[in-house]
Amino acid sequence: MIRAERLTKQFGATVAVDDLSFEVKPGMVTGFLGPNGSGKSTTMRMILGLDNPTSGLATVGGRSYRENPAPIHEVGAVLDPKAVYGKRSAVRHLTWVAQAGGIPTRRVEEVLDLVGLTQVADKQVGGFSLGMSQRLGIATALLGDPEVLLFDEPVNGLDPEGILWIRTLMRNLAKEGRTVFVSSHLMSEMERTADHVIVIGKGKMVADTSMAEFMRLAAGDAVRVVSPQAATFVPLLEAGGAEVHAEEDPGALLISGIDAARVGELAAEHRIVLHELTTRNVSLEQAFMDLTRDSVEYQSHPAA
Amino acid sequence: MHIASTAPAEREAQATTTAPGFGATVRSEWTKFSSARSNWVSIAVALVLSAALTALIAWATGFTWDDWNAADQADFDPITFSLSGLLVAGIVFVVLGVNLAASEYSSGMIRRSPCDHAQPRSCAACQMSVIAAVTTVAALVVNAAIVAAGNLVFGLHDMPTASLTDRDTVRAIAGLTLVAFVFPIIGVAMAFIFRSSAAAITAVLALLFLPSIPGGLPPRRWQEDVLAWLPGPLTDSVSIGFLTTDSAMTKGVVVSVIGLIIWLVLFLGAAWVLLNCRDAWTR
Repeated sequence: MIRAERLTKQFGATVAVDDLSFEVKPGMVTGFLGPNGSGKSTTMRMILGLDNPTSGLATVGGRSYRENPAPIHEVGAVLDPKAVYGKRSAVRHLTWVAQAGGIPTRRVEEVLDLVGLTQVADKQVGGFSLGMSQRLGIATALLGDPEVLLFDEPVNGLDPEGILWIRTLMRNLAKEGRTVFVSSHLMSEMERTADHVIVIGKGKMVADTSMAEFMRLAAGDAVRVVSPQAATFVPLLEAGGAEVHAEEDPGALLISGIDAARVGELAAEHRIVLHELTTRNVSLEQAFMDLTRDSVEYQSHPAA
Repeated sequence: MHIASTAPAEREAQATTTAPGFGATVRSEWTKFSSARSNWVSIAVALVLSAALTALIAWATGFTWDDWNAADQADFDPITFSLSGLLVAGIVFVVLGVNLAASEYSSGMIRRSPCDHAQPRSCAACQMSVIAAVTTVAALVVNAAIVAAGNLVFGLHDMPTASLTDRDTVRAIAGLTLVAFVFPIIGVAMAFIFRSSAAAITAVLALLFLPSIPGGLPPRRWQEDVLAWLPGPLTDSVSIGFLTTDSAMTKGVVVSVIGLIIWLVLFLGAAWVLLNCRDAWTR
């Protein structure tokens, strides 16, 4: 399990991570979401002992990374897949990491096979595509067969086959009881992969909840109806405690404050014809945008 | 898809494994060093260029030998005169030391290294051990090669020569070999301090050449009290001081060794402190 307790990181006057507390539990994939510059990578680096927190504590399995005598057996991380010496072969790269962690070098062949790089094991990693580099990074992270895995933007630059492979890998790792903590900007991908989400904005906690609850909260329990009797239905809904907004489509209403069942009952009671009655579905992307609107550091404007 | 090679319970037990130890980290650093072909090319270039430069200078010296006066000819020492090419190897060894550490930053591997070493200082210590071992062995070959090359050429010009088996030759080669690690180690420390190859190499070479820049211009007392205490003259005092006893830059072997230890402690201490307090990522 990963635990952050009041984690804070300042770079000069900039507070990159602000009093962040959360737990990442085993047996599930936890997505780590936030806009650019929200502090995701800094938080991951503090968990991995690469950055020192200004205050607070990050622990993995109850102790800080640097207190762990053999961290490679407990934590595997994929931070920057291109952060390798390009003139070294994949097998030699994995060998030095294995040796540093006291891992038998036969494990190198196992992980190369696992990530599908056996054929290019003797090639210089500088010539690897981004997808191959991601696979090498994952092989490196899995060398110590760790309980906890951190992935920073693991699907960046991957083709659909690579994305599917990583998604399946992360799901399987979680199924095996491991703690999987993954940051990504690709919301649709997180929607398919993560069981739980931690959302931060400007270094502060925005949400720490299950994916289902996150989506429900973001949807705001809104119900969409389309009716040829919309004008008649609006005062009835408002009398029933609902807040109603007319949408652009003819006869379309967006209703909040009461659930879909109650909207249906009201329509039936007053013999209102409905052509559509749906709970509004929002994508994770929309939910994310709604939640982090105030936390985006670099705002863009619609193109003219 | 099955990922694990161990069951969850075994993994939990494994998580409490003790640190892999200094030997494992040294093996890992050796793999890093030895798997970079450029390191071996650099060592080969150092050997060839050092011997070639020595032979060239010896050849040029041979052509002027007959013009030397008797006193100068009597002062000629075939061992020290055959060390002229050593400079090339010295620079290459410094570059090897600096690059071993600085490449961690330029390639981004520094983000990987501390992940695999609970204590990044231990990784730094192992890098220094590897570079010290490599430069010591390489220096032995280079030193023997340049002395042999220089004296071969001196012999062709009927100049005095020294054999590789002479007592003074063996002592000089052994001394030069034993201190060969000093500047590469300072280079590793500088690389951790500056986090940049260019800055670290410049700093080490400045330190190496500082005593030569003013040459014999400063008063003898300055040479004795200031310049002689810089790392370069101290390594010379330890290795070939017995051949240059009348030089203002030459100190006794024991005080020179103590002086070198103080320099190493200063540089390694600075690197150690910075490794402890700086973030690995921040450049």
